[in-house]
Amino acid sequence: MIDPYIYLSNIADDLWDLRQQTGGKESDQAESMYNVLENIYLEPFRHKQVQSNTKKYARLAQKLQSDIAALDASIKQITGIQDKVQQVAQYAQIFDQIIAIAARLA
Amino acid sequence: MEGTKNMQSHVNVRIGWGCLLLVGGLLFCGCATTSRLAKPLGDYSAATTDANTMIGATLVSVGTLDQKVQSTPWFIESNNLTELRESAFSPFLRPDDLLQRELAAQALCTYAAKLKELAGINGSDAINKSANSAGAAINSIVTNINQLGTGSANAIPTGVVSGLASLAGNLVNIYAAAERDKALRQVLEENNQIISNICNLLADELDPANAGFIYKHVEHDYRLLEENADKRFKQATANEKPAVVTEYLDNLRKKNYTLALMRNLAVLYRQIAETHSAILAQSQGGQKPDTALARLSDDLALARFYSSQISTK
Repeated sequence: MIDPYIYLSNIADDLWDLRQQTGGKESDQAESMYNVLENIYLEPFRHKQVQSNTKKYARLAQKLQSDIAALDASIKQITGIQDKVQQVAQYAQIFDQIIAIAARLA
Repeated sequence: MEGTKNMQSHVNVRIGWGCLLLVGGLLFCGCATTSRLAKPLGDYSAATTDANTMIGATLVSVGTLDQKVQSTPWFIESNNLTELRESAFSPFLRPDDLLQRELAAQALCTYAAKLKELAGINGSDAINKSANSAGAAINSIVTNINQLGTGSANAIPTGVVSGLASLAGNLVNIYAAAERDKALRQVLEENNQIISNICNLLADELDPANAGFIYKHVEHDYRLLEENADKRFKQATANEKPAVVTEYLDNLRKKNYTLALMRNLAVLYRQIAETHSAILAQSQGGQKPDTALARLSDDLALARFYSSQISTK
């Protein structure tokens, strides 16, 4: 199925090419038709579509931001596990020293 | 008595070998725990950051171009401007239009950076260090066992606790690495569609193949500037003509590079979506995303070139 917007955009491109490749009256006529098509029909449509897309971006960015927050929580959780391992290793060394001292005293 | 000693020695040898195998296993796991996604996600994050910078600058330049067009005699005449009112100048990208696109591109960047950070939690150094200390500690345990077995009076159990803690630490590190890989896979799976949606939306607006709204608007703006220069050229005196030609050629060059950049950014954002899918496939046990990353790198290099031509000349 042909998208009317793309179809009209292609016509506008053809009119612009005609303006470039011809001279005099023909060129002026092509330019005038190009301007009408672009300024009256295509540009307002683009403007409206861009504004409509803005809402889509807002929704998508918000969704991604909440997923980033969840991702951050995963990073903290996994980093937390490793921090605990380091702490346990440090405590273990202290225990070792205590045991070694206790053994010497015995 | 002799039989008991032999049995003790046999048990010690078995413990020794068992410990060595365990250390070997832990060292092996330590090496294997570096995320295999760390490198592709690092490259991916760098690419999204670069793309974000370029798309931000490109979108901002649309407003500057609009201003240029709106100050031409053509615009003033065709809109019958007799006095200046805000309502006569409606920007193509309003502040919110610009902001939401920038926020979406920025969120992509942050997401990629967080993925890189998650993949970077490899703890491989810590694990290898722990494994080495575990090895030393196990040797110490074996020595102590031997000393106890031979009835030595100096059987001080040095390093027993830290040895056991290192062993436990290694297991926890391996568990953490497994959790990290699981989290990465899950995040990639859950966000693949949303990344694809954002990237394709950005790409569609900049893609001439779909008569992208922003691409076509910018092209039209430049054409209006060309029309305006052409009209002024026709009315200009011989002395004035060179300046008009210079302006015309300058706009023509900017148009070509800007539109080339937009086309390229469209390809780049589609590539960013495809690379995300390729990294997801690797996390699920598929092939490495090397081809997708290579294409992303090529598209990025091209975008950087176009961008530099616009900003430096």
